[in-house]
Amino acid sequence: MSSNYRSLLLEIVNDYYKPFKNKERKVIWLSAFAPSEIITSFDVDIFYPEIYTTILANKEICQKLISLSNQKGYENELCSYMRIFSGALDFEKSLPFGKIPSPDALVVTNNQCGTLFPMWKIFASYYNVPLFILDLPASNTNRRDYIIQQMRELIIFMEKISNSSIDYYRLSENVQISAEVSFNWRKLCNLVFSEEINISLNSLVSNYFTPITIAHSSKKTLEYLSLILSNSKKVSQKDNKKRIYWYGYPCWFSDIKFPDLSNNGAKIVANNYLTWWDFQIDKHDDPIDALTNAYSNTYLNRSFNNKMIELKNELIKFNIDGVFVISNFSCKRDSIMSNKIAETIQKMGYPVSLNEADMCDKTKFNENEFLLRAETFLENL
Amino acid sequence: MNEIDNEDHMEKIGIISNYIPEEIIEIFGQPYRIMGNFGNYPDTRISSLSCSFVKDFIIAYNSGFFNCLSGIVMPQSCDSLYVSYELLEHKNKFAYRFSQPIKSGNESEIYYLNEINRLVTFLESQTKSTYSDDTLNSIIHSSNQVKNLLKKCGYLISKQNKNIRYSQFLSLIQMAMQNNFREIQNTIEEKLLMYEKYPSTDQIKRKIMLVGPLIDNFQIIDIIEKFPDTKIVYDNITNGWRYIENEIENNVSPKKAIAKYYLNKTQSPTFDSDNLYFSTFDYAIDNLNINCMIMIVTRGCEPYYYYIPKIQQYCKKRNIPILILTVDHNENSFEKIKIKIFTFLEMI
Repeated sequence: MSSNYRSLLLEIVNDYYKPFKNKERKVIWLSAFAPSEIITSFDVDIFYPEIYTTILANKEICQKLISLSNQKGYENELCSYMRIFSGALDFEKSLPFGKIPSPDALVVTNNQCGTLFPMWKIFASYYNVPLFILDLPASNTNRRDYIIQQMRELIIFMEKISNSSIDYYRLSENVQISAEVSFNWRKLCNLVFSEEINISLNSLVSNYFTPITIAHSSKKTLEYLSLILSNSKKVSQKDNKKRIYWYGYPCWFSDIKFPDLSNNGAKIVANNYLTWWDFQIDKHDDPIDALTNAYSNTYLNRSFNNKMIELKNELIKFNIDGVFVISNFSCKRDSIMSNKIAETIQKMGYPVSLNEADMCDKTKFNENEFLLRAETFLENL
Repeated sequence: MNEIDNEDHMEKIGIISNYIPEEIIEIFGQPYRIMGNFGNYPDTRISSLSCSFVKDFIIAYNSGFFNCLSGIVMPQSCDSLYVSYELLEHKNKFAYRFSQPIKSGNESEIYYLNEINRLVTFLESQTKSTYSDDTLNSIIHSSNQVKNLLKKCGYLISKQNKNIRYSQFLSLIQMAMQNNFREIQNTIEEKLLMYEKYPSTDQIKRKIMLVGPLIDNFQIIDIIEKFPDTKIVYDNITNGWRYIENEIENNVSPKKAIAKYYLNKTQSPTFDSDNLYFSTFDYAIDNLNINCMIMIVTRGCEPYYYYIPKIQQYCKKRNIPILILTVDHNENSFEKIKIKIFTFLEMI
């Protein structure tokens, strides 16, 4: 891969983590699926606690952070993103990249889960800063006007926080860029999942993914993706390993985000989590309309049937032999639905292995048991 | 475990959550609040990590315990309830997901009003009844009357009448939650008249406020009041004061009045603001002189798990001791719970 891509990656990451060393502008904390396009239309820095937690999860201090959170009274059954991050707020020793920048305001959505914003209410009162909750109800026909109004309120909220007026040209440009980033990211995922280029799934998540999450509407990210897409080499010959789909979060606690199954003649080639960052933004729409449609239809806000239709298309498209469904300790939606998901996939005609794990808390993942189950599953595939 | 009775052979419509407009439901059938003991069913298909209320409900629903319901209206309030809709095996019953906004304000009212209209259209297609403003106005009138009677009962208790157990008060509320307002009014009125005749008791040493989500295991409530000189005088629970507070206005269009009422109720942790939630705590401390709180949380109830530290901090600030009990929805082993409660109360 060209060095341009690497220097661009470094630049994006350094820009993002600058406030950890030196906070020069106002910092807005955002939840992962909040409309960053609006926020970056103002001269502020943004910070994503959940994305940062994916880094903390793989550090030695992770369990210390969890116990700090437990000491504060947070139950072990709560989302590990929130438990780890809440522990980090009171951690006195140094953290990766420096010191978490204190927020001037928080913006959170409920289009990924309904229990994220209760924690953000706690963050807001911890720092005594304003919180904007963007209520994005799951699919129904009445929600459009309600959401559009909130998008406008978010703009007013940001105008107050930043003491400036929104530049609609800049917003429109951000939406255009974000739409293209989404499109190109999906294209890259598809090429990796179908093994048409020489980037593995593990490499995609570990080495290429970060800019998509922290700078989705940045020109640099678009340029970065274009460089990757144009410079990736095509795979000349594919192997005969069984192709496995991982339905669930990557293992953020591990160096290898998807387990290595090469000893069992198999490999994990595709994953739904990575495609969540394709926001399917219609760049021809009015910016507010485009954001309303995109953020109310994020993957996790879609109906079960729609998710399963999408999954079935992917299993066919990427020539999948079997599926690992991950029942996530942290996520009530995931854990309650996991059996039904597994049953539905079986009905589609694919062998399924249902496994318990947690995306961040490694103590809730029994690797030996997983490998034994994987071995048995793959032998019988 | 037998399925729930349907002696009156009325069309019953199941509901979960305080934020689903049951007055609208009553136009089309008898609103039946899902609560109480659903029985124990062996089923490992739903993860043990789930909220134990939701887990019990899904298993009971799919095992036929709620067969007499013609359908159910589900909320989107928490993640567990949100996805449980997808797990219900319908078997000729309808299941509908009502989407209440998590914010208040004008836009939310419009959204809620649109959701009411969507619900009405749906229920008209599923039942033989049709909507009319007149019917809704009459139900609103009864709903207000029933809730006012229940409030009177609550006030009697808050005046420390030891002869009325708190579980009796909660049973009356449950009766209102599982019947038509227009039919239950007389029964509640009779009960209230009876309670009013009870002689008042002396000053009580331990006045308790009950906190938590839905608390439908009344045995635990009775254990608390079995401790000498102890009385629950107030609560902030789903099936307590949070259900009966406020009144539906009668000087605006009935659907608008319903929207306004449901969006201005004391909010649970699944809403955007905490102010209204904690205002009831202030009321209990400042006006009822409560001297401790007992929080009963259903195992796996994530929104309340997030609130535990917040409530603990609040209590510390106001110098009010609090006991947190995490229990299964169908908890049937009370020995440990009793020890915890009694040890806590001994310290008050």
